[in-house]
Amino acid sequence: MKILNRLPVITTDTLAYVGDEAVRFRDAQIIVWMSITSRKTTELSPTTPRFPVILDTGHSRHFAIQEQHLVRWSGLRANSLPILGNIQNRDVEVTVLGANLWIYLNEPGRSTFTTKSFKLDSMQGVEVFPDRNNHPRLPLLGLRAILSNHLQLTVDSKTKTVSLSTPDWRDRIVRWFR
Amino acid sequence: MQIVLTEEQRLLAEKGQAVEVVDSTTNQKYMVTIRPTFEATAKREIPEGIVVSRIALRRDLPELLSNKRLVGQWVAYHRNERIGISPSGQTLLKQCFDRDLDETEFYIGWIDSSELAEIEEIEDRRPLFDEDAHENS
Repeated sequence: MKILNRLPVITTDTLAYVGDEAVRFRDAQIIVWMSITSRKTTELSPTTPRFPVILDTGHSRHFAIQEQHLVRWSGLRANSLPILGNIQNRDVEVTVLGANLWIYLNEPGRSTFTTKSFKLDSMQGVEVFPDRNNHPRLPLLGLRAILSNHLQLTVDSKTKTVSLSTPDWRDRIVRWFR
Repeated sequence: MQIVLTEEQRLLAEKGQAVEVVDSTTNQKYMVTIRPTFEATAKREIPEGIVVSRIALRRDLPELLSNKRLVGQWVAYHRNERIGISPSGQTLLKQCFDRDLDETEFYIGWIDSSELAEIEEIEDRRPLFDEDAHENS
């Protein structure tokens, strides 16, 4: 299954809107759109709020978000999600909450996202950062989300596009012999 | 700068709208909104059921990691009981909910050495100098 199909990388600073809130995408960022729900949600409603996320392989965990973005952009109350643990980010203790993550599929070759989504296994939880440091500026989808979901990420520098997919039968055979 | 809102502005702010205020010293205009109250970062205890389930996972993890076929799969614990192992965490999550387990009574972990860390640290990637540091997104 192709989740991101030749999604263009942002090549110039761009403004986008989450509701009526302007957010800036930067040159050379990979922007995907995602939703967060409680772990009991098995089907994503078309009315579930979606918001932009930076696909950031430099982030070593699954998903990071500021608490204010969680509340405003996903419509969830943080205390409605179970706390799974804490992690340390320099002087900041970050709360890890249990939630389901959904990533929307793009139209092939375009930055337009469809209503179809792929549910990521995010059992290790999402990191909710306190607002006081304004970090992360936008939510981050980290490398562990790609690794733990056994996804394949390809960056094509010639076309400046990114593809993300689940392994097909050929990939599975190759992996079996490795 | 001290902000004094009119009654009309206060009502608009309470409805979640931004209201315009002016700094009388500089004549600079600002849009202000009510800051929501957040709670996730307030100190919350990890539920005992999750703590016990994670300890059980860590206890078994060295053995699980020694089996190459299991590495990268998910494993669910309800306290000391292993519910199952699966390539799909969602499958295990469904099994836990099918057993009517409360979310605070189980833990689904990744069969990966990252689960061994008592307190995981992540790379600090906050920029030292960022033009957006004081902007809202």
